[in-house]
Order: sequence, then structure tokens, then C-alpha cells
Amino acid sequence: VAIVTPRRHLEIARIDALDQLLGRAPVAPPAPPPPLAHRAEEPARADEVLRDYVLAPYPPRRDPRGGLRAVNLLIESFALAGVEAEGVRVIERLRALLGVGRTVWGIKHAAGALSWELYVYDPGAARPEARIEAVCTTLAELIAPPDLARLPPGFAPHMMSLELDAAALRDRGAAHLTCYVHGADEPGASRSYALGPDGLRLANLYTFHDPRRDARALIARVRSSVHLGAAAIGVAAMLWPEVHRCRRLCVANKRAADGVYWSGVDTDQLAWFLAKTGWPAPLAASLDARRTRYGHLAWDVGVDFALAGAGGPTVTKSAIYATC
Amino acid sequence: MPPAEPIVRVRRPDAGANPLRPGRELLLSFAFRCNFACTFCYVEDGLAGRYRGVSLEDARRLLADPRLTEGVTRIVLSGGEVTLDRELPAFIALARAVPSVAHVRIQTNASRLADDGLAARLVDLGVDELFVSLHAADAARSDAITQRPGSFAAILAGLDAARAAGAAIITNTVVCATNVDQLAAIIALAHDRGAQAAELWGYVPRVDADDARRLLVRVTDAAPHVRAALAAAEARALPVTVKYFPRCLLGRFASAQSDAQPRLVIDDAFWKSYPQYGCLYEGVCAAAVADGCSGLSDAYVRRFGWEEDALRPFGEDAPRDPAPVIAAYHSWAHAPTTSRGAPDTPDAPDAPDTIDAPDAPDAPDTIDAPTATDAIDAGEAARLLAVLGLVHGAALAGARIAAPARTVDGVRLRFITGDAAGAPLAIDLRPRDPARPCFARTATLDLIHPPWTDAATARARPLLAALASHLTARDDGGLARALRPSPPSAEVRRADTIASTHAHAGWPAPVDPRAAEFHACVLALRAAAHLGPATVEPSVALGRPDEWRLLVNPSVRRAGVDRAAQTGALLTTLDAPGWLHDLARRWLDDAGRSLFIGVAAAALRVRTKLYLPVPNATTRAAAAALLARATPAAEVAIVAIDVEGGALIAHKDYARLAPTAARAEFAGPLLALVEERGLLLGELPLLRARRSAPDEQPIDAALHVDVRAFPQLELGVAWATACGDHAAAARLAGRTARVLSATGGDRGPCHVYLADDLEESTR
Repeated sequence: VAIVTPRRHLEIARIDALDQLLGRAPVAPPAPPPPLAHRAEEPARADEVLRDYVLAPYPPRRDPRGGLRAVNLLIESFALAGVEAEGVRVIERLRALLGVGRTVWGIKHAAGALSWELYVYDPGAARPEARIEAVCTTLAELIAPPDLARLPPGFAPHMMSLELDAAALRDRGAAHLTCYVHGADEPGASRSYALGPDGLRLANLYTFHDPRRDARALIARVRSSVHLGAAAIGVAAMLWPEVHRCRRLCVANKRAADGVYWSGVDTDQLAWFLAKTGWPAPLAASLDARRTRYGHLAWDVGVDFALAGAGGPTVTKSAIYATC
Repeated sequence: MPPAEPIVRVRRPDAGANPLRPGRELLLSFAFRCNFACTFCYVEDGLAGRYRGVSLEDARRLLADPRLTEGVTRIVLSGGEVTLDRELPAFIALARAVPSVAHVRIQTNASRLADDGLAARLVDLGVDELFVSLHAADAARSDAITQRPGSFAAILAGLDAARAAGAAIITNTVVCATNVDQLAAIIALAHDRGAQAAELWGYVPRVDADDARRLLVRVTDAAPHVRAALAAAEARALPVTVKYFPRCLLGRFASAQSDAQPRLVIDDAFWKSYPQYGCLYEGVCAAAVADGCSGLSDAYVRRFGWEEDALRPFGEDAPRDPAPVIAAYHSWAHAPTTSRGAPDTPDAPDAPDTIDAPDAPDAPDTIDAPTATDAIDAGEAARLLAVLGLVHGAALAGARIAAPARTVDGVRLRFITGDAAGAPLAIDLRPRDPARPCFARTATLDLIHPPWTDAATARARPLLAALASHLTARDDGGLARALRPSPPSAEVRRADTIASTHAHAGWPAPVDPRAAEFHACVLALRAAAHLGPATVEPSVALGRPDEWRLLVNPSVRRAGVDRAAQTGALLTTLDAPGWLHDLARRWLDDAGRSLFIGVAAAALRVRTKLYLPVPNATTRAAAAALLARATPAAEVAIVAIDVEGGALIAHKDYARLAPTAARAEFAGPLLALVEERGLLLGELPLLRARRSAPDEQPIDAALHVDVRAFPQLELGVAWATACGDHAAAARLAGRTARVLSATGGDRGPCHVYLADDLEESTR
């Protein structure tokens, strides 16, 4: 009998096993709709290590057997945008180069359109196959590589990312390269530099926080945002309670917005997030129908906020992250 | 720290206990219908038709199941309005049939209790407690809430009937926008109608996530009313519990708050939509961690925010000094001729008019002798200045701020003036003492300077005035405490102990574990495995001056931490083999166990060890034998079992610890313990499978010291006694904690670290 205590030290205890105690069958959920993608869904493996968007391992939230890998949601998004085959080819190339589960993917949703970003980590420049040149070469047949000659000689960032949209996937268009430098300003902080015509330009500054223990720092960090404005509900305008129950929180300062990232949310929280930020209904429905099968996963989600008048910040972009 | 004074006391001494608190409670929810339609209620909207209730047959089986009922002393029957359910008598009988049950309570709106002697019949059936909804103090307000004209009269009649029947009455009031201004009157009414206790519940927006009903009330607006209600209850000696309302807003009534609830037996699907609560400060608030202040509902935060300015986490600040903050310009201390008078009081331009009376009866006539100072390092100097809001090298009233020093009980500030040819001006900050002469007094500090010449005093006057004004404004009651030296961390204590042991033994000085590179390793590991500071402890291997180590305890018990998951994540980070995962998981199946993982920090992934403190008779006996033979140079004796590369190793770094002549003393009992390995394995089936691991190493291949050696408290007492530290032994003897580690010897103090202390420090 599983008696789950939601908080330590509270006498509150929920008995989440009434069906089990009574020996009765649980109410069966309705059959999920077919996936958007044509490709067979990838099942989860019980022995694989799950990693978050900084490739930190995390334990499965429940028994992964019978579940689905997070990459299925990525492929669903490719299918929704009409670039399933193209997107899958990119993923397969990266897996062949780096291994399964070693690439972080992000799906971005802004102005009604989806785009994607793929992140490759190479802390300490220890993995030749993960260097920018190797990744771009591997993908060169599928994506027009950025002009790496504009990078400083010998530059070896902590992480790099390639941002793609459907057109780039479909037509072998250009990917936008961003490089991330770890450890700037304080332990755990990062900066990103986007590669432009003039070389690298500072893009974003990130700091990471424990959502439970770093309350004061977190409040100060969010209050310092120029995009918080005079929000009537204070920092809650950016620190959403529904996803605050997460493992790690990141605050980012960007050129035209400030971002908040919640790391380690569960699938129910992800479903809430997609609804809250207005993601395409077919993708949200695909996730919703597979909540149980994704239930072992932890996800990372993020929002860009920009000040809109006196009413406080509004969402200009949202994103979800996992590994493939 | 939360306020300690209880403010609500049990009214019925004959009852022997607060009727709200004793025993374990089980709540059965089975009837989702009601004859009222209270505006805040979710039963009809949120339960009926959505969830399968607990049928009588279900209840019969559940209440016969000892997994649910063992130790249960109270069963609560809830709906809906359970008096509408014709099977209520049968439910009551089932509840009464549970052997351990002392109380059967029903939750009711009381409107039917006066009908046909229902209250008396319920009592006859075995109900002894009635949890009665009372949401307003007058008919107009109450009937508006229940949406049933005339219902208030029925409620009062029901309360009277319940009292006449002899049942204990506990009232229940939902605090919402509709009734928040009546809370004190409701409490008074409850008392007048015979209630023996009351509960005030913050509104739970269960089916109204966006608060479309506009029933949420801002906690800062509600707090005065809630406190007034608690004061009314206090005046009537009526016990009140406040639920789902931030404890930190209750002032001296904070101890009335508790979100504890009975275990609820309800359809599993119910929990999927259960309202979520949280608080930005829950990770640092003692109330959230210790005993369950839930914070604010998500719906509340969406409407009003986190209330980050209004909520005050318990334990984050020291209790406030109740004394008023008075800036007082005294007679100049250390000016012998004016120590009690005021002729030399400088006329600081911004000095307040009020002057603390300097003529306290016991005020000393003589001034304190200048206090000795201790040099402090740059980091501590910067910290002290930061606490005081000062910056090294910056100017204050024309004087440059120099590095401070510590005095016996405070801090000495130093200022370099432009014309100072000699020593800097020194000003002492000491904890506030009303009897002490000083030139200024803040909330918690006395400001004192040594005797100066009149000319020097005149020159310093602007500085003194500026400093007094600055510190007075800054001292909100916690400045003296903030200036105290920080107690050495476990890391520092361990490093110091190891360093002193090395010095004692004549070994090369060990690497300082606080070195920057080492610290970077610690940070990396913490970040990689999301570990808290207290779970990664840098140290050096005793007797190995060139080897850095990290002792990681991912299994430390801490609120909100899944020990097994955190341990698994760490082992994954370290690329530990699968069998080590299995071993750790099975070991932690017992909640009383913890483990440590040692990492060679210089190359994080080179070697991973698992330290399993093994409390059993054999290891205790072995430890006792070793203790009896311990030499002064010996840091610790062993009790730890170390699994390395598949081998089970009981070890003692006696070769490094003791001079050659002493090795034999250690070797005997050590080898005896090693020879008992079979017995140890026999007692530890968990480890037995590892004996045949292909990479098993011989027992003498690795000799290390684990200062976290004592698994049982008595060993800590024995060790402290052996060290001659009888005070420590006495202190430990009074504890029930588990010993984490022990260090020391007869040439120095004995330090015994308790696991409970570690856990406390991580909260």
C-alpha cells in the first residue's frame, strides 16, 4: 500500500491506493489519439540515465517501463510543423555522433510558430566529437553551417546550440549558432554569445537558483528585471507557482526580454505549462494523452517575459527542453 | 525561531488533552450531497458525480484492514452532509468496531441535529464529536453564505441539541471575503453555544482556481481579523487551530496554526486535482519544514502574488529585541573626568534630543580597560564591514575606514583621519549593556571609544556622529548577533583537527581543503548532483597530505529530499557500477541508515567508495577493543565497513597514524576484526553477494581512516571518555542522537559529531 506524504513532517497523508486497498480496477483513461508523427514511438528503457537540460542526471519519477522517451514529443513537434523526416534526420546524426541522450533539445513557441534549438555540451573541451566544428560538420548535409571562421581561434565554449526553424530544416537553411560560457560572474552562472556577422556578441546572462533555499536571491534577481514593471502581484508575475515546485530555477537577462526557466517539472506541470502559454492544441493533446507514459520524465520549461504597458510582463516566448 | 509561548490552552482539563490533536485520525468521505449550498463549498461542484465515494461495503473492508487502521484513535465521517445519508448509522458502527478507535466524529452543518432527537441518537450510536460548520455570526450573513434562508436558526438549534446530547462540539469556519470581518464574533458565538474548540480554515479554492467567486481575501487584510479572533478565543480559553493561513502573520498566536489533517480515504482520482500550496520561503522557514505551514495556494498567488514582503520566514532572523531603538548620545566613555556626566557630550548636528539615562544605579564609575584585539583575515574583515554597511577604504565623515579587528566581545573599527600622524582612531562596538557608559547606543550595540585629548575628540566629533547615525539606522535588532564570529563549519573543524593531528604526529602539513581548486571540485560535484552544501564535505585523507577527498552524504535526511534518488543521481554522476547502485538502494531501504561516498577529489571519477556505518555487536566490540588500545596519536578507531571495488574492507590506517611501535597495538584488534569478516558478512546479507565480485581486492590492500567511525551513541560516549573529555561524554550521554563521527585525543578537546546535528544544519 503506497501512502504518499506530500510534505515531510506534516501529518497530512494522502492514501493514493484506495483502488489497491479495495482490489478494484482503476478508472481506465480514454485511449490516446494516434501520434502526430509517422515514426514509431520510442519506448523508454529502464536502464537508461535520464538527464536534464544541463545534462545533470536525475532519477526517473516513476518506473520507466512501458513509458516513452522524451524525444517522442520533439518528433511530434516536427510532425506538427511538417518537417518530421528532416528533424528526425538531424536527431539521428547527433545521436550517431554523441550518443543517445547526450543532446539537449528545446522546442520554442513564439508568435504562433514552433522552432527548435539543439544544445551540445563540451565542458572542459574534453570531447572532440562535441566541439562546434565536429557538430557542424556532421550536420552539414542537413543544415547550412554557420561561418565558424568568425569564432575566436581556439574558442571552446562550455556549450553550443544551433537554432533552427521549419524552413531551415526543410531547405537546408542556416542555423544560428550560440555559444555558452560557464562560470561567469559567480559559480553556476553562464553567459551566451550569439555568432553574428561581426563575430560573437553577448546575448544572455543566466544565473541558477535553488527555488526553495535561494528565496531572497531569487526575489532580488526577479525584482531587478526591467520587465517586471509594476506588476500587481509582484514577483509572482514571473515566478509562477504552478511550476515553482521544481528542482532548479534559472533567471536570464536577454536583450529584449528576461527569462525564467524551471528545471525538473513533472509531466502534469508540463501539460499545465503548454496550456498556460498557448501551445498548439494538437501538440498539447498529444502530450496530455500520454501523460502516464511520460510520467517517469522530468522536463525543463522556460518563458521569456517582456514588459507590456503598466500591467506587468507578458509572455513573448516559451520553450520546453529535454534530451534525445 | 517561532514564538514559543502557547496562547491557546485546553479548556477541558477533564478531557485530558486538546480534543483536536490526540491520536491518529482517519477520515472517510462518503456522502457528497448537502442541503446547503455554501458559496465557498466544493462538495456539490467538485466531488459529487466526479469521484467514487466510499461505499458501506468499501468502508467495511477498509476499516477491517490493519494497514489503514493500526493505531488510529479517531475516525471522522465526512461528506457532504452525512446526516442526509441513510447509511450513516452503519458507518458509525463500523468506525466504533475498530478496536483502537476512541472517538468517532462527524462533520455536519448541524441543521438537522435538532430534528427528532437526531443529535442524541447519534451520540447513542457512538458519535462523541461533532465538527460543525459555523461561517457567520448572524442570520443575514450566514444565510447568504449557505444560500438557504432560515438555515442560521437551524444551525443554532442544532448546536444546542448537540450540547444537550453531550457531544463535544468543534466549530469550523472557512475564512473568506464574505465573513472575514466577523471572525471574532463567530468565535464568541461558538463559545457561547458550547463549542470546546474551533478551527479557522483559509479558503481553499478547489473548484474555483481563478477565484471567479471572489472569495479569496488577501492574507494581510485577513490577518488582523484572524488575530482578533484568536484573542477572543484566548479570552475565553477556547482552543483554536488555524489552517491554510500563513503562520508568520499570526504574531503571538503563531502556535495556533497547523495544517495537519487526518489521513483522507477518498477516490484516488481526487488527488490529481488537489489544490497546491507553497511559499517562496518554504526552504528557509522553520515553520514550513518543521511542522507544516503550507503557505499560499496557487490560486491565491495567481491573484495576489507570493506576498514576498509580508511573509517572514521563521528562523531566518533572530528574535527582535523588544527594546525600542533609541539612539542615545552618552557621556564619553573612557574620558575619566566625564564618565558619568555629560559636559563633554559632543554636539553632533544630527544627534537626537533624547538621551539614555547614564546614571543607572549599577553603572560603573570606572571605565572598561581597553580590550585586547584579535587579528582577523581579510575575508572576515570584509564580512564584518559588510554587516555594518561599511566599505574598507571608503570615507566616512572625512575619515577612511580601515580593517577592523575583533575584541573579546565585539568588534573594533579603525578610522584613518587626514591629520592622523599616529595610530588610527579606534571605536569599539560591544553588545548593548544599559549599565555601560558609551557615546552612542543602537538597538543592540554600544559604541565606545578610548580616551582622547580634547582636540582629538573635537576632530573626531563628525565621525562619531556619522557613525552613530549610520549604525542606528542600520541596526534593526540583529546587528550584535550578526557581528558574532561564525562558528567553525564542520569542514573547518575537520580540517583543523586533521592539521593538528598531522602536527602531533610530525607528518607533513596536509593540503588545505579550503584551497580554491579543492573548492571548485566541491562546487562541481554539488552542481552535478544537485547536492546541498552540507552533503558534500571536503577534507583531506588523514595521513595523506597530498590527497584531497570529498566525503559526500547524499542520504542525509532533509525535508523534500528523496534520499535514494539523490544517492542514485550522485552515483550516476560518478559513473559508479550498477552493483553499487543496488547496494546503496538496498541499504537505504532502512530509513535509519545513511551512507557516505568518498570521492578522490583531485580526479573526481577516479575512485568511488561507499562507507556504510554498520551498527552491530561485532563492530561495537571491535571498536571498544581498539579504543582500549588507542594511543594518543590515534585519531579514531574503526567501525566503518568500506566497500571498494567489490571488496568488503574493514580498515584502519594504523601504519600512518601511529609510530611504528604502536602499530602492533592496532594490528591485533584490526586483524581480529578482519578475521571476523565472515561473521560480519553473515550479519549483513546485503553485502554478502559482493564477496564473489570478480574485482574483489584483498583485505589489506586499502588502509584508510574514516573519522565517521561511530555508529552508535555509546561509542561516542566511550570515545569521549577515553579522550578524557568528560563534559563531552556527559553531554552525549543525555542525547539519543546517532554519532556521525568523532575526533580528538587526550591532548585536545574531543569532538563528536552527531548525525542529528548535521541534519539540523541542513534544514
